[in-house]
Amino acid sequence: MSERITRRELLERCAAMCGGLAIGRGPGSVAGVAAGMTAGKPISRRTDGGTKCLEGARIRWIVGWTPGGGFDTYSRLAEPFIERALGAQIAIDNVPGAGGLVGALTLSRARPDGRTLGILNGSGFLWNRNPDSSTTPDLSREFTVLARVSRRQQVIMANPATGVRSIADLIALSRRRAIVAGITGPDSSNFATLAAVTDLLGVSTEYVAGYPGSREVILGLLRGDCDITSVDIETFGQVPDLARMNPVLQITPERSADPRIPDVPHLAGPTGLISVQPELFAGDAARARSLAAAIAAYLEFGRLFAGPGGMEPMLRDCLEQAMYTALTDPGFAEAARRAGRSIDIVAGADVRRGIRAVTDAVRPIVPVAAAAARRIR
Amino acid sequence: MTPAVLSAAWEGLTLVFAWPNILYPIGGTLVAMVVALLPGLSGAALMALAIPLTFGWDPLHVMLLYGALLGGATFMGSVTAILLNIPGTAPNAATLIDGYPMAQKGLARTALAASATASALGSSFGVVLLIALIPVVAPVIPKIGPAEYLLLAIWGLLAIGTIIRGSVAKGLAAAGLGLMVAFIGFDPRTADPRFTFGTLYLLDGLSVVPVFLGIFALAEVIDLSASNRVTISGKSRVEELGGSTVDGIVAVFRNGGLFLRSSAIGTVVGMIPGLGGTVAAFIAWGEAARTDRTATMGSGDIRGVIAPEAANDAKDGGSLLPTLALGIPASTGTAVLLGVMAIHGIRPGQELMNEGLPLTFALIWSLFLSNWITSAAGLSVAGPLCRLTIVRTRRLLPPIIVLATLGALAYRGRISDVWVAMLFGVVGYLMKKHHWSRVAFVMALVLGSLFEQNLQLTLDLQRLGRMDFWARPSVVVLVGLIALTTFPIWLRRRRS
Repeated sequence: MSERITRRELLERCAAMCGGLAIGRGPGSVAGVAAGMTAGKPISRRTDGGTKCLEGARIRWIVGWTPGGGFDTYSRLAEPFIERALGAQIAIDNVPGAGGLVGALTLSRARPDGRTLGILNGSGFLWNRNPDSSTTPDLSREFTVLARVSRRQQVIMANPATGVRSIADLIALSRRRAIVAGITGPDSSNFATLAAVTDLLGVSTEYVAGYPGSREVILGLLRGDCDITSVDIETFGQVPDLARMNPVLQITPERSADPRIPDVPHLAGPTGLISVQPELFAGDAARARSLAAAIAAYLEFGRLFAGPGGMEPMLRDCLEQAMYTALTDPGFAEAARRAGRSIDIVAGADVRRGIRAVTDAVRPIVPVAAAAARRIR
Repeated sequence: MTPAVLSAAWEGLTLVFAWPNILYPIGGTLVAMVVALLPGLSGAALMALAIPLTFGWDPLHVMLLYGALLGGATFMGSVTAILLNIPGTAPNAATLIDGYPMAQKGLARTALAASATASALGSSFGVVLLIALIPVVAPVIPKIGPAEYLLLAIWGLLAIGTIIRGSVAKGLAAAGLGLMVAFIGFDPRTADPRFTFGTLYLLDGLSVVPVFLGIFALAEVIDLSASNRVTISGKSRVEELGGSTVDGIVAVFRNGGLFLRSSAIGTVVGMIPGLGGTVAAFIAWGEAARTDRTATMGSGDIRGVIAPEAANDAKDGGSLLPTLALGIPASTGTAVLLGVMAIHGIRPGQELMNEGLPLTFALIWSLFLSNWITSAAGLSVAGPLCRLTIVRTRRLLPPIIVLATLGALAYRGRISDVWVAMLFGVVGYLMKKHHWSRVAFVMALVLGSLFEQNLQLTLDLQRLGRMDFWARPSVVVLVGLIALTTFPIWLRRRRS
């Protein structure tokens, strides 16, 4: 197995990755962690074509959500390409429940023989690794991450009836009354980002929790149930009423090129609102930058293809190579484009290397989101 | 209905019947019919399984296939419900409440024919209403919120009061038990686990399919084994069986008011995202029971077959409205449909309702066609199938056990679902033996989570000043409807 990367590239990538660990909570270091995971081509790319380790086998592919949703769509889009790369047959098994937790636990408890694989919400695990949570598996120990298929990118959307068109408007409104945010539940990724962003802005927030899904939250926003919510950019294609909502802030480290949200500022990074207009944010500037970078890093993990933890290195490398071959197939990219799904592929080795650093980087969100969750309870 | 809509409807119809397009709805329907005969495997599961097949297909063919898959499985689940007390899909659990007792009376043929007729006509009602209401209702749907959902759940739960026969205390206790089971799993608001006993299986609550399979099918197996009944119908020769296919067809027309009311309930419930066929079927059955003056509902009344079947099939047409116009899935099946549409680059919303209207109609007509094909098949095989009710129970029980167990396993591929079905088989048998209402239990189970989730949301919205409950016209209409349908019964019972 060979790695096509120069020593210099490796060192640069490592420096970016290790920044968060070496320097601590500095905002630059967190951005570095994210950059290290996403920059350029994946360092573990191999070219020996060793992807047929499970040829002829039947693989159970666990999706922790019901058919038709985003995770299910990514899985079904990738299925024929992974089958071709591995020479195996994949049977997608929807194991919905508890926001993907039931499926994740099923995957983590399977035998690490490569015959049970699946898709995970990586960001969700980072948030759930908090002191209050005992059921959420540990991403680094209980799974073998094989690839990242896409990152999460969210946008804070405002109810048009509020007249809120920018962050400044939102802050002004919050001085008159508490902002009401709509969420599915305090265990969701969207809640974690909303809690952190509103904390950053010093905006007093009440939550309407318990909508059965993100589409229902969007409907609630349009109905006037709430003032703001957080929407994943990749679900835009499934939201015909997008134009009726006011996008206020992109929760991304750099501005999305999506033409449906032009001129909407983004949060983190050197060109983000946190750097350009720091006066909008409440409290200590260093803490604000750290939290903003943590939010961006949090969403980096996105949707992961993974197997159970403790996989043999040879098998893991083979599966990782197969995932990479499948996901970089132009046919997959075209299928994802047609389905309106963004892809942002990172090889499993890079993700695995980044888990600890990103988990550390995300840590500032945990007490903020936990405090907001306690208010809901 | 504008000329543009009519023109698109005609174009859609010609697309469906053009060669080789017609093969897709026919093939899809046949596959869906076969799959639906296996309890636990729903149309939605089949739709998900078919996704990889469609890669590279023309979007029109995809829509034709999925229209057929969406409609094809709906009726067939009632065949096993009526004949063997095994709900083919969750909504068919409402059909078996009266359908199976009819089979026990030797009237399986009539029940099957009534079910097929109500199913075909109900789906037609839903489709016609969908076409007529597309421009009018689409803007209204997003305005339906937690308050309206809550009142619908209350309306359904109040029907429990009208179906309790015998001891009121036992009936209410059964309903309370159903609510308790419905509350297992994560609290919808706080995401705290409840009554899970630390198990992974219970984290997301108990699924209704294994519970239904246990409480009806396996409980019946135990009951039949314990009884000295030789066959399900108590008869041993075909000639001794009563009823006919014509009786079943005529019964739907004779109960035209009930059919229209149930179809309307199905269509409206179908239009409301997240409710689905099970809620539609049980609300329609409850409404039929509420207006029953003969106290025969639940013991083999044909109206108890017509109402849920009409509602369950009418809901398909209604559910397409929020799905296609707003991108909001109204059921699991339509959620998969949305996913497939996304994969093929078909975006719901204005485009699909304007330029893409012929494609939309192709889907609708395919659904329509599949409903009629399944119902025609149902009518043609009603005679031969009713012979199952004269097969000796000692021969019939092992296949029923296998079918129910396989159904529980096929539902999600979890062996735990089989244990749950068996547990509820014992619970169901004990409830039947001691005259605890199983119908009250399952109605509370179906509507409990809908009630809880929307009660919490409504209270939150009211507390935060985001909603004035009594200022919503739809709330006033629904409260009036509840009062109108409940008060006369209360008055009648008080007088008697």
